[in-house]
Amino acid sequence: MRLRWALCALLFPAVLAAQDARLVARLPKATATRVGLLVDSARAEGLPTEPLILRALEGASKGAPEARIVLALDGLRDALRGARGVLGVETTAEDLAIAASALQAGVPRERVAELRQWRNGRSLTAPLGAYLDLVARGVPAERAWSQVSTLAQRRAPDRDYVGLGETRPRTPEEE
Amino acid sequence: MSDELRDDDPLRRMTEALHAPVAVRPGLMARSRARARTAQRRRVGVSLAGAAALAVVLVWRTPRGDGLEAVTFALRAPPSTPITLVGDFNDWQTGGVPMHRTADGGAAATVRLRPGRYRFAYVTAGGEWIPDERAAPVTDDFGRPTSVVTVVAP
Repeated sequence: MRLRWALCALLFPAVLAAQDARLVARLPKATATRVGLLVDSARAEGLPTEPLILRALEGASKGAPEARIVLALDGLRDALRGARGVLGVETTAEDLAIAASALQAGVPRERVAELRQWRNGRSLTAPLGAYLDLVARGVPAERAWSQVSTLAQRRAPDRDYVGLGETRPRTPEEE
Repeated sequence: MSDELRDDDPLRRMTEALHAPVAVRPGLMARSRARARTAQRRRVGVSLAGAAALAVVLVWRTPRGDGLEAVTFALRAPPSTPITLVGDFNDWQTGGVPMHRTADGGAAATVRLRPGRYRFAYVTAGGEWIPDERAAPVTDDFGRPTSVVTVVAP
């Protein structure tokens, strides 16, 4: 028992030192430690850690309790794993982050994979971002996907997706 | 009286000059077409940027070669208390980016960002969280209004 406490006392400062300084500065010590372990495990899996750290800092700024922050990070880490499963290990951190957002929003994995093929190595942020914005604004998912996939298949530049997010949903009379 | 013009007649010389073949530099037509296409693309780009500036939060401009875009976040009818802009770009530090009052009664702040997707919100001095009325809303894990913006290279 004494040995265990001695080990904890020895390792705890090392764990804190390895953590991102932002987490240590902004989160309560216990929360920072828990979040730090979660971030470390993501790093060990080869997942990008910055989205997790930013989400934890967002939670801290919003005054969220530890359990809620950890739950959010768990969900995001799972989504990042899922995104890497779809896109592969050679994917950029930026693409993994936007694909994770898409999967969390309910976009089918097949669509993310399809979009990656059409984009042929270019970033997925603009098309997936536009798709998520359209759906968030109330455009039916199928119509949103149709607009985005049309541009993607045409190999349109990123700036062409900007206006899509502003598309007004059609009223029933316009259908 | 004959209709034939003399060789040294100015009218004849003018007519011959107008009928003479014109030497065109190689690639002139291709260059002209390329210029026309560029001009058309610029017009489309300007109209797209204008639409985005009206409808979205951001007005981007002035890339300086470092890959950063100046993005302006704006509220049209902000509360009277001081407001800060917080988001992924400043580690969600609530005191990070103060918004200044604009002449039309709004509030705005400009930050330089790389192309990407950023979650953000506005926070009043009283601790109230405000989403951007024109940006897309996103699901929030922590029960506060949050918006999202995608910055693309022009």
